[in-house]
Amino acid sequence: MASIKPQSYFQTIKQFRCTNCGGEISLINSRTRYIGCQYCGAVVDARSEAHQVITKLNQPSKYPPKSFIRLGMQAKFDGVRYQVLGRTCWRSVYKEYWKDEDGSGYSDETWKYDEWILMSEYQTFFYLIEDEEGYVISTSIVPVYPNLLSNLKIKDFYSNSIRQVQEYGNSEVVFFEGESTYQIHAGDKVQFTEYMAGKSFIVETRLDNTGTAKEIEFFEETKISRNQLLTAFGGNPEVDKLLQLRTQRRADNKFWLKTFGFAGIIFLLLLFYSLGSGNQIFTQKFVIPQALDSNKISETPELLTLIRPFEVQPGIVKLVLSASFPDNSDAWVGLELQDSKGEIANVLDDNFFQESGTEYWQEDGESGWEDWEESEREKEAYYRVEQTDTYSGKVYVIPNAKGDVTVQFTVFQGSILSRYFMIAAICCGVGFVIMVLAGIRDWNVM
Amino acid sequence: MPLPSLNCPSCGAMLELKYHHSKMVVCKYCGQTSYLNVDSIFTVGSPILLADYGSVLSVGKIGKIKNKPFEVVGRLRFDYEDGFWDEWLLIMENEDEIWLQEDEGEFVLFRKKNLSDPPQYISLVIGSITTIYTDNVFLTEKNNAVINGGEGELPFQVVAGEKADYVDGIVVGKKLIASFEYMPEGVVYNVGEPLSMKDFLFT
Repeated sequence: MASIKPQSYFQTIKQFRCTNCGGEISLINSRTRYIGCQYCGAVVDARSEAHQVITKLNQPSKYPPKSFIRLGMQAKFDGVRYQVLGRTCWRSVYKEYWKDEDGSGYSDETWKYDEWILMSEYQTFFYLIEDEEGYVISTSIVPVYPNLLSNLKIKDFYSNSIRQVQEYGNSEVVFFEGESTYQIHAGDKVQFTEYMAGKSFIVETRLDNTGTAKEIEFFEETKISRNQLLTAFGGNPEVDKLLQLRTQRRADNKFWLKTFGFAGIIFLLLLFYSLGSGNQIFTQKFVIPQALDSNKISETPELLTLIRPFEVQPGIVKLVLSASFPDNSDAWVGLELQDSKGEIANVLDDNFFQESGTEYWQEDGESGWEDWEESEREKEAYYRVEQTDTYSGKVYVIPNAKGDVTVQFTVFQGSILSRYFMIAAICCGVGFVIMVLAGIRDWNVM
Repeated sequence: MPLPSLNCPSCGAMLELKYHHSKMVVCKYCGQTSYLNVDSIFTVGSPILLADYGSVLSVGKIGKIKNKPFEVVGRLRFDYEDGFWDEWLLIMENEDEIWLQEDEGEFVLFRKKNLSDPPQYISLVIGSITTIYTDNVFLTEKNNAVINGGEGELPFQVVAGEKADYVDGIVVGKKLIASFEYMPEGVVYNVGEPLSMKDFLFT
């Protein structure tokens, strides 16, 4: 890099009041010829002492800046200091290339964007384009193979190979504020063509008021994130506030990410630990006989058998009722558990079933046969026992019409209530995801 | 051979000439333009001092461009409807006449090329290609301009207000800038390489 002594270019070289509205205007670039008043939209002559109004643009209130960038702000890119000199608001009417499985073509589009001009301490310039999708830095280039749009084709500026035109159309000035070395009018037009080759390359033709080409310029555009821009604009009080807010929010986000992450891991570990069913202390199998007459199946449960007495120590017990039975059949099973005093301690019931089949399907012109299966064959419940006791029970059933059903009742002791850990782990996971999303949003927005 | 010392015919200040091909000098003190002939110096027009619009360059500035030493000895300023640009005359080793164009923060180092049959200004169309010798020049800009003024030493005799219409272009396949300047004395054809600030070193 050249060892150029920085000039004091960023000092205001002149201040005067807008001839139209009296608003205070500061001139920074000594080469500036015209200034768009940010308060009333009038373009005034910067060089003459009279500062006569050259033209009037639209009301500034209709075209507020899209984000934090303001006239006069300073920034630093690649170690070089820059200052924001002006902003031009453009409206584009253009064609945009699209391609999908049905084909490709160009769609009619409109778009609005702001073009900030920044001047370096060496009096070089670049444009910062800002729109709803973000920011790009646009720099003027000298192509090896300059060319224009021809039959919807354009040649690469550096390799001369044919490139797909991404966008082409017209842009028109709708508002301008700040300094300019040339006179800007609302309605000034440019034609543009854009292609992609890693980044965007653009050829732009400035037109005079008769629509005749006045100048052709070539640009390349490089994306820059909002975060990079905030860092570049650091030092401006308004941006520093945003940066402080961003730092605070990131710290908060980090804290909650760590908290949810850590707690989630703990609950997951507890969940895995509790996945074991404990020690089996009792089991009993019984068979539900097939109903004798499939047309006369009772809807009232019948007592099938008694559960043998079993002893349970204080703590959590897990009761499991499982069934196996013929395909395409179902059976209702109810279990009533009683303590040694004959009081009902727990009730378990479920409508167990096993169904499968083959189904014809048709969708979007396609069709075929598909196997399906549905079943409900196990039911479990947790029960807290306060003191050692002996339990027994009764089993009620509604018999199955298609065959015998084998039901097994099993009791485990030492199980932990894993579902609570699961719920807690899920809550922590949700909190973690929310914090990640909030962090991503802040990264893009703050 | 050392160049002779002269005094400004208008204010008497010493004019230190450095460029062997100077035909015109503008006094840095009073802005008086003087034409230089073999054995005489005489004033032309009224004194004009160029407005200082800020630049990293100035008459007398020395440094290096791409590691090649240079010294700025003169400047011509051109005015056109969208603003102005400066052309700085440099002394560089093994270069007879070399100009550094400065326009809106963009620099091009131009070398003059002889053109026996220059294209007519009116025949050149923006966006078209014109062939100069073996070079195809893609035309990018065409405009009317006038000479606003000068300072230091210059290799020809001009006066402020003279027409200096121009057509600019890019030499296809070479990444070089081409420029036709339609001056009253004839068409000047320049071909130059674009420079960035990284190419400069000032001492």
